[in-house]
Amino acid sequence: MNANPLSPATQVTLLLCSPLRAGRNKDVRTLNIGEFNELEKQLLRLGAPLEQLLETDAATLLKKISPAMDGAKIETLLGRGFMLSMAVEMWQSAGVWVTSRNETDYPERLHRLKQNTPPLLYGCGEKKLLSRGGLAIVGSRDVDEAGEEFAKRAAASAAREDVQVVSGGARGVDQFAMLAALEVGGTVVGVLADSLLRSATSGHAREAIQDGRLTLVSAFDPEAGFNVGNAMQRNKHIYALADFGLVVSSGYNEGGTWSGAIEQLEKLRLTPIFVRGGDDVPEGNRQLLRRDALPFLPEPWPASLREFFGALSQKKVQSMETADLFALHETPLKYHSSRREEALNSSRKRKH
Amino acid sequence: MDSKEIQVKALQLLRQSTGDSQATFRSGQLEAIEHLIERRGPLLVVQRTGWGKSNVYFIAAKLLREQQAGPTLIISPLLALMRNQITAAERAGVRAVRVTSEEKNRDDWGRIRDELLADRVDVLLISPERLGNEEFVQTMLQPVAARIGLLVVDEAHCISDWGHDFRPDYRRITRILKSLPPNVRVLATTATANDRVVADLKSQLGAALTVQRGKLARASLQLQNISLPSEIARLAWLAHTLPKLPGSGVIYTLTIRDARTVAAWLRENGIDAEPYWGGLDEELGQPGLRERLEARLLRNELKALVATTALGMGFDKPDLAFVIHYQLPGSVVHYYQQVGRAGRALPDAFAVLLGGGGDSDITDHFIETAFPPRELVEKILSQLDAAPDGLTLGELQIKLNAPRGRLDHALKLLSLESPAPLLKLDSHWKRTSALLAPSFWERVERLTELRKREQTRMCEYLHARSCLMQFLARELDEDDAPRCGRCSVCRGEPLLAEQFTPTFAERAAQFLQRTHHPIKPRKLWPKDAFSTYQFTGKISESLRAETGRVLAIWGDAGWGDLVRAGKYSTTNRFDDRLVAAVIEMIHEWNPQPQPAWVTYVPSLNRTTLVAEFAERLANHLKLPFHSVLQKTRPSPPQKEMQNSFQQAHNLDGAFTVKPGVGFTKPVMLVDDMVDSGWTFTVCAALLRQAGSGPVFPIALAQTSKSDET
Repeated sequence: MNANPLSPATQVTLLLCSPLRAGRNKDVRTLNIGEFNELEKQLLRLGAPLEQLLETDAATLLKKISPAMDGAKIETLLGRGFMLSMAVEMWQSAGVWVTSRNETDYPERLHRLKQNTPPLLYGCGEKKLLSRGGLAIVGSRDVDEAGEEFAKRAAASAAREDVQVVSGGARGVDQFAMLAALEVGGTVVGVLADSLLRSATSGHAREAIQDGRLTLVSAFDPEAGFNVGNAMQRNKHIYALADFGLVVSSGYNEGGTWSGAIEQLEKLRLTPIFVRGGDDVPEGNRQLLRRDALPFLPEPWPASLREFFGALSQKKVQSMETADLFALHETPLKYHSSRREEALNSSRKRKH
Repeated sequence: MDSKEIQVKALQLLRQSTGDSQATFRSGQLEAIEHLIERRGPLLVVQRTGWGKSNVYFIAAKLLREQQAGPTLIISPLLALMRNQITAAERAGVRAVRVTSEEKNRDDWGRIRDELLADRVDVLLISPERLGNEEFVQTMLQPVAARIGLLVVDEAHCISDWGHDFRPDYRRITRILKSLPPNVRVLATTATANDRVVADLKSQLGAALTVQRGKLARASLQLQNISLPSEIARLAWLAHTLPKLPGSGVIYTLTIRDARTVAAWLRENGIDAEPYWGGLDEELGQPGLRERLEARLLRNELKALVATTALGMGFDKPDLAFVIHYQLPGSVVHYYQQVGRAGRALPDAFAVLLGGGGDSDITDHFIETAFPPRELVEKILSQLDAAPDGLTLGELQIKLNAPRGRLDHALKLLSLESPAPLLKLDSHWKRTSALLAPSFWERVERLTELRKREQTRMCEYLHARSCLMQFLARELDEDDAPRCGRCSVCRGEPLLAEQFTPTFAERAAQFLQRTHHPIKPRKLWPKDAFSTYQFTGKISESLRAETGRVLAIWGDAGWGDLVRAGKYSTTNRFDDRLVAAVIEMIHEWNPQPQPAWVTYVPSLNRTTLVAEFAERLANHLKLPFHSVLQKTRPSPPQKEMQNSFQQAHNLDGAFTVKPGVGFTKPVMLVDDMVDSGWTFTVCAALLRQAGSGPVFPIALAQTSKSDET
């Protein structure tokens, strides 16, 4: 028989950060990333692991961190244990798993986001794909035909060379790229901003998920509806899970594609950003190229895109925090911040 | 609250709820309450029925509420029978609310929801299948799910894969318990758990599980087994013995049909007995009948309820004087539980097991149909694979030749797997991305094997030569149980005489031959099944058959064997005794308006068998006989059609009425077998369309495949 499918640390993270199927219209406000980071910091100060919040002396612990944190709110959230197991049961039945950032099966790549590392990650499909990196192909929903064809060609070319495609699962560029990669037998990671549960059970994704070629993940409640804030956060997760970004079509100064790419170029710098060039591309593409984005190779492409990426990443992006992107990762990459490493170590020690 | 304070308050609550100012806790009750309040980890209480588990959880719930904790959630399959316990709890100020699947309860949902939201409920009781109902979960459970202070799971042995009792809905409960964080208080209760089951529960609820176990033996029970292979002998023994027994009791049967037959027989013998089964109220159209029957038994106004296992564990009658089993139940544990209801507050009570003969045919049937066959599961999955938007149960019925109940059962079992290969969204069944795990079939095989072993052990119990109570206790791993000194084996002689007066046997044999069964008219045409006849929607009164009669059950102890002989003989003729029996049946039945002529359902394979029988019948009744229906095309035997759609569709366009026939009077429509009743329904509608008067179906034998409890 299986033991509890969730570790106590993941249980606490769910209790504090997940709406647990309650929907958006409830009075209970869960902790946002900032509050959860603060709680971890406070607990670390006391040398107490997260799971101690489930012990009988939790109230004492909460008193000790009281001015910094709203203890009553945390206590209320922690009281949702039955709700938690109801939710987990429902997700599991639909084939959806959940992990938290203190777990070993949480994708290392997301730790690159530091304080923005989502506390929870829900998913459906093989977790292995989340450590494969690959090419993030992104772009707007309302893409023109040239953009659509480009997205499909780029995705298929990458997939043929066993370069994984990472995308957002949205209508338009995202879906064109993902489907094209799957069609030629490639692996795909879809990073969703909403409705993971519905996508995971849809007839279209079923076969690829069963075959282990498609993994859908989301940092947001599996039943969450569309929300602009979540969609913006999601862009970070796409780039964090990939080695390279390719913008197929972007609006100028508007839309998620633009802001996500700008954030990478100016702030996060997790992956180099390539942009489709040429005469007929949208204004956003042109503007990104003026802001340090790299022009993607003009077609016809060389026999090996992989070599192209490799060479470019050597030359131009040494300053970026990135590994040899298309090498096979025999040893998993380590992106842990030292602070989280400490927290992990101390909590592990306590367990034994 | 410190320990002393808990003890004082708990005792006070106990006295309030029992209305007895001197009441004290039974051994183990207070310990269990303290364990829960002080949050010392999950607790399993294994105590016999009647020990007072409800005292533990209602008092714990109340004490937790006084500490500002959220409400207690109790999951039990026996809610319908917990009325007394709830009333007692209310006396102690516990506000308890029950939500069952009964429709009448639905009207209360809004009110209950308001109560929950206003935090005016201390205990919410629900049945296990409620947790699988998305609407219920969203509207009723969400208001309290975030604050559940104590979770109680009744009949906890069902959580185990090794339990004697497999309830699909407990698969979900098992998973809920598994992912429950340690800060939720959990109480699991059961009357019966052997070591294997306890070990299993430990692995589900965590090694920290505390187990509290009481003794199983019941001091007042006197056990006796009687081997009586024939149905006639058992009926005779009951009629002979019951009037001599003091008090009131329960007679358990394996099937609804047996419950009805035995009750009817006892009534004919002047014994106040009533049949009782799960769907009683709906089937007889008498809401609340079950409750009224229970109440009459409680007040000793009935000598006996003749019941299927639907008369469950929550039924609490301390002075129940006897429990008699008309057939061998499926397992010793079931038997122990059922006899355990007798004599709780009596110095003596009888538990008599009648057995032998073909009992295991019935339990075999239960074992074989407990899980869907592989072939059906594969067909369902491949149908759903090919349907991206999913299929409704009705649509599956059109695509697959399988009984509706079987399909429903298979879908439910599969949807309770985790991850589930299919799920139901808005009445459509859809495939998920999960494959059906091989462990599903491993479990099916293991449980089937287990059921067979239990069946064997039950037979061994019937013929046991050592103390019967000890046998039962050991079966539940209570190895140190002493000899009871009260059972027929310990005493070395029967407690109740095994003999009966021969006239009872003669009369029982005649009775069985007189047990006719109604053929109920179908009222709705299956969707899209009759494109040729263009029958759709409700079957109008003017086309509908009247309620008919069937003489026997295929192969039963009355006329069944003689019908079988006629059907499969080379003489191609039903015995004259069957004609006489049908005539007697018609006289007793007295259909109105009186039929004025006779016709029959034609067949292309056996052209004369039914026609010749119907004609003989007509001659004896001195009614005109006319052959008016025609079979226009061969169709596969109706018995091969597995669900309503298939059965109906198979007959579409298969019959016509000869033109120019104008019989306007009421008619008897004769056939040899009746199964789903669709042949009668179609032929009756065609006759009515052709201008006939009301149509009364008559058949020799009913060949329904299943008769579930």
